[in-house]
Amino acid sequence: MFKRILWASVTAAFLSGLAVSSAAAETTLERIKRDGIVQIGFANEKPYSFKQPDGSLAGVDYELARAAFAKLGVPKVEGVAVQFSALIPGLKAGYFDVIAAGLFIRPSRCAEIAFAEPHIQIADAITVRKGNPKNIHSYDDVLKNPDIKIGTQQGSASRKDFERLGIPESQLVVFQDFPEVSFALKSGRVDLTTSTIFAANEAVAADGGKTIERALPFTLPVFDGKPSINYLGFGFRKDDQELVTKFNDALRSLKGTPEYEAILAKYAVSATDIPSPEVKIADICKQ
Amino acid sequence: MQDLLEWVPLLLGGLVQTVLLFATVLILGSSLAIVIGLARLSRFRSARYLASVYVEFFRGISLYVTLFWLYFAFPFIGMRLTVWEASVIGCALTHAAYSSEYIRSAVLSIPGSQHEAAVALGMNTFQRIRYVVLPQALVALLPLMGNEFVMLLKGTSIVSLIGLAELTEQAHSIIVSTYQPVPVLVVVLCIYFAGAQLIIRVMGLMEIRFGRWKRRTVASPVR
Repeated sequence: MFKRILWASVTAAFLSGLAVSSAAAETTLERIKRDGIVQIGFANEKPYSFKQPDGSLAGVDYELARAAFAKLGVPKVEGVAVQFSALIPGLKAGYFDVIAAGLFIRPSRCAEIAFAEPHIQIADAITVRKGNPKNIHSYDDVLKNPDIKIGTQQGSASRKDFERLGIPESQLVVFQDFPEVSFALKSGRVDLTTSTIFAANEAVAADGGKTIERALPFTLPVFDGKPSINYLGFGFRKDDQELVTKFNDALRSLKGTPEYEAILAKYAVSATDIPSPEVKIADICKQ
Repeated sequence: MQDLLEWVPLLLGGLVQTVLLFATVLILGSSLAIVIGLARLSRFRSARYLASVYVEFFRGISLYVTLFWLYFAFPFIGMRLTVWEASVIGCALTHAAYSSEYIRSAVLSIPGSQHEAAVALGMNTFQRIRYVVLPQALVALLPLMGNEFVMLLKGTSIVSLIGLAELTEQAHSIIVSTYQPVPVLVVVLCIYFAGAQLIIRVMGLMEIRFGRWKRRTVASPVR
């Protein structure tokens, strides 16, 4: 009897799986073109994609996505807000079709999702309390002083770097998002935070230079002979390869247009923050 | 400060979502709680058994985990809930598990001898429930449910983790854009506090209203 119930439920689960896959015979590209709407997942982070006072979206990733999808014949871009660590699960579960949240392209993430060609490159910036009281100028300083705590965010790509540098877990404090990390820095719970230059500048500007500052100079780590540069890419589901290709073409054709320049200028993204066309997603994923 | 004021409508929108979620969960969850609570007192062993499995399961796992399963794992078995549906279902299932225990305890607080006395007086089932069980069980239940409703109101903030645009989530959006956590969190704290006070007052009034018979009987001098 028990066995029969077990088999029935296994079969039911299998059949429901079949029903889903046959309903999904239409590709994502066909669906978004038909509906005229594409949904993007975002984690509410400046300057990538964030909510404005009226509830609408803004940000360099959001606006680039909107311009590129307009070229593909999809006029409307809607946002789905999720926690940073839920971006990839949410994409895979189908709650949105694209991640437009300043996600770093990392080999471990390439295994899970498909990235478009990188649209921004940016180095890490280190933020400390004003006056750099613990005198931190490299990760060697962090290794030498076990009292130094690093604030980082859940699911962050820097976790891997800390591991490679040999920084013990006991020196890491994990938060939900970067603004939380910066508050922890201000209140003295952590001594150092790592983020993109964009996020660091946002946090320092919002603070008005009263309690925190960029740690300068800071020797950034070098892995495999390469300085650590982060590439940002839009994320797609693996089986939407056709959409990724079309999206790459649309993004490439945007480059150099006044619309493109205006979006970058609006969010203070300079020409040096744009990766050269020689930087290929396949190489970044291999590292 | 000026730049914070322009965010007020977003926060109010979040408040509306929180109130809607609270009301929906209160109605659905409490109805389910009555069914589950009574099932645990049922004559039928299978009903008792199923109800306890339900209660132990949902009391045993955290609401956060329930929400994550509903929202991120269910799509893989072919069930895609919207963030609103996942929030309502997750909160209602959890709320019902806790509340059903209160309902069970309220009914059990009535001594069995009263049942016998009511039968001896010739009351039928409806009369026994209406005149003996319900008046006493309600008085025992209301303070417990007041507690549970306050917990439910504050518990709805957990759905911000799956991205429902309720009060906490919108407050979070404002903080990440303005980098000003203190004023925003003070406002949110006051809103939750006021909401909890309102619930406590309403439940207090209901306790007075449904406990009237008690004072009436107690007031009559015992000779």
